[in-house]
Amino acid sequence: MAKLGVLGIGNTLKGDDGIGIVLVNRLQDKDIPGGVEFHEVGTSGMNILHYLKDLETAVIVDAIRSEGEPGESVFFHPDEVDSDIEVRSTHDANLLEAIELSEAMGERPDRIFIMGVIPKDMPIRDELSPALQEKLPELLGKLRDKVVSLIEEEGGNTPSS
Amino acid sequence: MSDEKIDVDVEYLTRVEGHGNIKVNANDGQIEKCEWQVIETPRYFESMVVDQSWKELHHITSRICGICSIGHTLASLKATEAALGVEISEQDKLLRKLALHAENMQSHVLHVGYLALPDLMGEGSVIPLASSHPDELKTVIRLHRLSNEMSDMVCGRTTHPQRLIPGGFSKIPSEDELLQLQDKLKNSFNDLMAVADLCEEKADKFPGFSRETEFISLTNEEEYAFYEGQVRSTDTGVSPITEYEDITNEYVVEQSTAKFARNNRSSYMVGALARLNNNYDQLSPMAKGVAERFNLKPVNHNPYMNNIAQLVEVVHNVRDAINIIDTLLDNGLEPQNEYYEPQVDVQKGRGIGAVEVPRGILFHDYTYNEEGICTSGNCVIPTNQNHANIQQDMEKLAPELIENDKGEDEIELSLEMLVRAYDPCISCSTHHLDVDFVE
Repeated sequence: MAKLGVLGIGNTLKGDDGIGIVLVNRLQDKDIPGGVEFHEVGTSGMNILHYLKDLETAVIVDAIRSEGEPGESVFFHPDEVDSDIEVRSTHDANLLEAIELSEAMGERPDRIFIMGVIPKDMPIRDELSPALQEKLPELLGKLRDKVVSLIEEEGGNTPSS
Repeated sequence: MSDEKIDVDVEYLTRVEGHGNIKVNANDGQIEKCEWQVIETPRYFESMVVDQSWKELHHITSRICGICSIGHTLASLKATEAALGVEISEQDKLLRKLALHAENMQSHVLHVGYLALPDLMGEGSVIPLASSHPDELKTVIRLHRLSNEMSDMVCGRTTHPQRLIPGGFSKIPSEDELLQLQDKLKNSFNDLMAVADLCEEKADKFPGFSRETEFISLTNEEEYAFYEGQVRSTDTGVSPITEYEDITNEYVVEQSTAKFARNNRSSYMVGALARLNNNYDQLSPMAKGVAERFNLKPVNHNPYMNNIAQLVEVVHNVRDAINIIDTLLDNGLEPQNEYYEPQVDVQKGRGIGAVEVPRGILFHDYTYNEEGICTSGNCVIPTNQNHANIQQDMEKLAPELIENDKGEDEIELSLEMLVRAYDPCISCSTHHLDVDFVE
């Protein structure tokens, strides 16, 4: 099976900013067949570059600011995002810049999917908002389905549900 | 002198950590406004740590910053260990120093290579360097990967270390792993010198600005201090870390939600340049050799040289990490079980921990009750200690640029480069994307 990695981005000390980390850690505890890598990337944007290098397929989970209700999620490809907008990352490099650099260096995985989740709020708080906590099983289900379908596409074992 | 109206308005300065604005207005050569504004929400450190157990605090505080997570963990552990009266072994101390070298290298390579080099190359970001300077960029990426590998090996993972615990390590690397790392470090000198060559070639792009200020860092008679020591100021000399509140004197300003700090003067600087100014003689000979190529000697008052001080420190980090591994292997690694838990007798008390993190001196201060529950906490981060110095540099630099008939674009770039030279970490930690989809 092609090397598949699930990367969580965010900070669990800042409320819903940690949704990416929470989902990846929860998924790791589920029955996912071997061969899938799980990484808590945290908030250091440029480090994503190094994780991407070793992957053929990457699923990146992050909080996104976009139109919609808290807890809504969307899977998209980096190429679908308007790269001309000023992306306001609070970090050394934002996710899209790291992916762009990965491509420029010839290291980009063949496939990248970003699961973006709309946060309710991001104050100093070491747990998700009630709105996102309520949505957690649904979000986890979506992430799991995506990862399982990618495993199946690659001809890997299907986990027992 | 320019009699034009100057209006520099940089919102969300790029290539720094967090959200900061630069505002400069001038009319007929007279400055009307000159402000470094930090608009990040305050981080309420106290609320994060109060009511938490001594076993948990270092895990929680490691998440304050995605870049300095090892440094926050170590400052936290040192504060907890000081409060609870816990001693660690010499071996654990050496391994912790190795972890700090890894983080310093990681952060400095990222800053010099990905964030400052584009300015020197005349590019808006690191991406164009992939086609204009592919070999140089590959060198930077290799060095960054090596530092990540080093922190993975010592701490269990690249960020948010898991193996660092009160009293020592839950797991230590093997002698084989240390040897392999040492080989890689030895092989990295060519890469380091290639980055130094590139910076030297472009060094004239750093503005020749200078403003006398105070520099504060840890200092230690035994070594170039990162892990332990006392506080040294170029103005007021050496004091114990327990007096940190009298040194840092944090205060609130109207233009910013972040705190500012002052000691002997109205501002001071922390970070690589402060460490180098205070502890230059203890740098490794190879690191000093790099400093000499840039005529960087103590006491240097050009904040732009912080970029070069970072480069010098990376060379020192690699050299000293090689020496530490030699010492560990010569002594023979004292074996310990996996998932090791040091014996800690909980007691009531207060402890202060200070370490040098990439951006400067960091203090954690905790008070615990008899059950080992934190009842109060304080944290003074390096970036807050630098804000006042950035502001005062801008107040000197902006009129000088206007006096020299620099245009708005050049003024803007010089001010942006000034702020970036401090490598400020403003938000320490939210991460989300603003997403607009292509129609």
